[in-house]
Amino acid sequence: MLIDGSHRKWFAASVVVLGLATVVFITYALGTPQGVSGRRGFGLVCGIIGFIFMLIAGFLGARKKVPVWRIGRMQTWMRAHLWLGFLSFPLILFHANFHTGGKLTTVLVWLFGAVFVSGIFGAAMQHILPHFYTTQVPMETIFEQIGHVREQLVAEAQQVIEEAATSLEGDYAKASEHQRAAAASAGTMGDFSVGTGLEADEQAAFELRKFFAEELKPFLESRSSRGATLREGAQAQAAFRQLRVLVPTSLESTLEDLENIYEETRQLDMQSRLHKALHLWLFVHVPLSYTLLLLAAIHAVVALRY
Amino acid sequence: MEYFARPHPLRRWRFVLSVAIPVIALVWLGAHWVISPEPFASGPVSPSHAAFGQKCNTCHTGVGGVYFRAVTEKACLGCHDAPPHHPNSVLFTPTCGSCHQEHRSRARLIEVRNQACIECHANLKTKSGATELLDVSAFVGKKHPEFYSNRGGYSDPSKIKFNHQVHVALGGCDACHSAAGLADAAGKDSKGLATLRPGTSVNAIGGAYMVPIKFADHCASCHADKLEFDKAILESVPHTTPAAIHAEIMKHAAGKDAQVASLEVALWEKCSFCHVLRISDNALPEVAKPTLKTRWFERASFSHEVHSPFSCQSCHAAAANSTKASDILLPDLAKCESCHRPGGARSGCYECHSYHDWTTRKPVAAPVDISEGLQEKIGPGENQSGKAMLAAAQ
Repeated sequence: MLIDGSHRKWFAASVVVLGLATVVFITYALGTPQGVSGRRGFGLVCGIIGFIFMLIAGFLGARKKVPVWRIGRMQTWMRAHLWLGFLSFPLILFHANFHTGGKLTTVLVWLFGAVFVSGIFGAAMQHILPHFYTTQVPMETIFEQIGHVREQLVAEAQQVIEEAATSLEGDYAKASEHQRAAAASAGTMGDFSVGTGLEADEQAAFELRKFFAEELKPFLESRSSRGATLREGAQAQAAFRQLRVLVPTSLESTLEDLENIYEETRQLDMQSRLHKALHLWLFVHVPLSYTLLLLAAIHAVVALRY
Repeated sequence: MEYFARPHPLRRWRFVLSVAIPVIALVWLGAHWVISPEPFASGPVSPSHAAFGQKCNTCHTGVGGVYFRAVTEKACLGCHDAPPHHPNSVLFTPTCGSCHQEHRSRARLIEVRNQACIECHANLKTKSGATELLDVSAFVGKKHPEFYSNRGGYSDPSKIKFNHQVHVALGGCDACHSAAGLADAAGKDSKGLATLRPGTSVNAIGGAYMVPIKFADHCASCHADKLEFDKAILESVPHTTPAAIHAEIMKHAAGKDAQVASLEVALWEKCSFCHVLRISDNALPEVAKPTLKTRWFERASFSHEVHSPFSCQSCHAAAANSTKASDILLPDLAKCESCHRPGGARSGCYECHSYHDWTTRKPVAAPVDISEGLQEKIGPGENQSGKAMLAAAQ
């Protein structure tokens, strides 16, 4: 979610809450005999509010799972997740008086740190990467559909190649005896080398199939373009240029189709990478958030006991 | 379109991790729960209570049932004597735990935050309203009053005449001053009097306060154990009461009545070389009883042992030039502040001052015996303060 002007109220409220909490914390820390303690007074209040904020922020996951729940707009939940999650971390630090304490609380502090940092990283990614989507991946599709689309593209490319190669081979098969004789005598004429369209077509069909089998297909089928010959844009352009020399100009549209298939696949690869960059942080953020909420609840229960 | 039906590997792995990591955390906590409750503590137990191990209920004896088992005053006072702090003056008495905070760190529980003292002493009010104590809000930055004897108008109460300059030049400080305990370690001369071994450093011997200066133990080691007198009559006289000295002289002055008056004058002059005398016409002079102070901080403690790495002159520089016993040779507060400051040596109130009035100390009614496996004998959930713990141990 982009943090834009619509977040102004949340931002202002967060600044006010954080500012107030900071002032009270400093006052308590310097002005009371015990300093701030998570067991009582301001420290306890910070712990309770911080945990409630954590729960609200964590509830976003449940809200996403059941989008039909009519408990506030999704955007409101997203904003609450962002800002309350952000606020909860300093509040919990105030609650802990910036000490890690025992083993469980130490684990909690480090978990929260990891969740907080990964959350900030994720928010930053969501501001930076969408720009790349619009400029680098105009053929963007649904991420989960990429594999399916790629399979279709492979099949489409194979079909295009087969049709083009077959048409070239058909030309050779349909040639007259005279044409075949001329083709057989082709070689040099005076100072000029000459060839026949018939031999060239057969060769072009072979080259097309070879290009597809050895270069294009591995690239299209590869889940990642890494290792494929056509992974470099310049290399791909050179390969298509060479192919244009080999095939008759009548197949220009075929080559354009192949190039489009290649380009779409390349963009899908790019989309895959961007998607991973945009979502891999969730591998840290989400599991650790659940762990944090679970352990924090246990900590609260134990703290009530003692 | 069946890709919707099965989750993408990324989502699947995220789900797997979202389940696995919390489960691992639960297993970790559960394993600890079986072994010991240590991970659930809000911090490490202080060394003072380390003997109780993982038995939380030893101190957490609150009466809230399963929950809210806070540490009660009874739990603390069951084991510890805690004489009250000026019970007739203070407006309130804080709980033990509000000053001695457990589970904070490995620090000693005695290390109480300055704020615990400053809360009252920054603007001290008493039940009667009046107090002679000056306010204090910190040790450094002129927020602590100067030592009482350095405030001016204070005179040395020793009632003795002594020239530090001469004696320091002759034998240094440790020729006379030794920390408590030195007397036992010092040698004895042929007459059984304590002498200082050559080269003995007072700082090498432990002890907070200096051994009280006595003629027999200190002065006599250089000066004769008898006072020099007039060799024509009597070579020396014992260092005793004026009456005894006078009687001794009179005994030897028999038949020399003409000299008695002058002898008496000479005698009192000898005495007044060190002592303050009150001379009257018709009676023997009265010698003011020397009261040499061994403790100059009447409301604070100081350990010479702790400061033993430093030379005497580091703090008592004025001693080398002092010619009168009335000179106050106590270093001023600024001298202490030069080391005890933020970033330097500790400057907590508790370093010098004691909250509890240990002069009214009472033995603990039911000391805890942990020598025979107390921890095993006390089961969870029992009220184990003081007597209960002792009973359990027995």
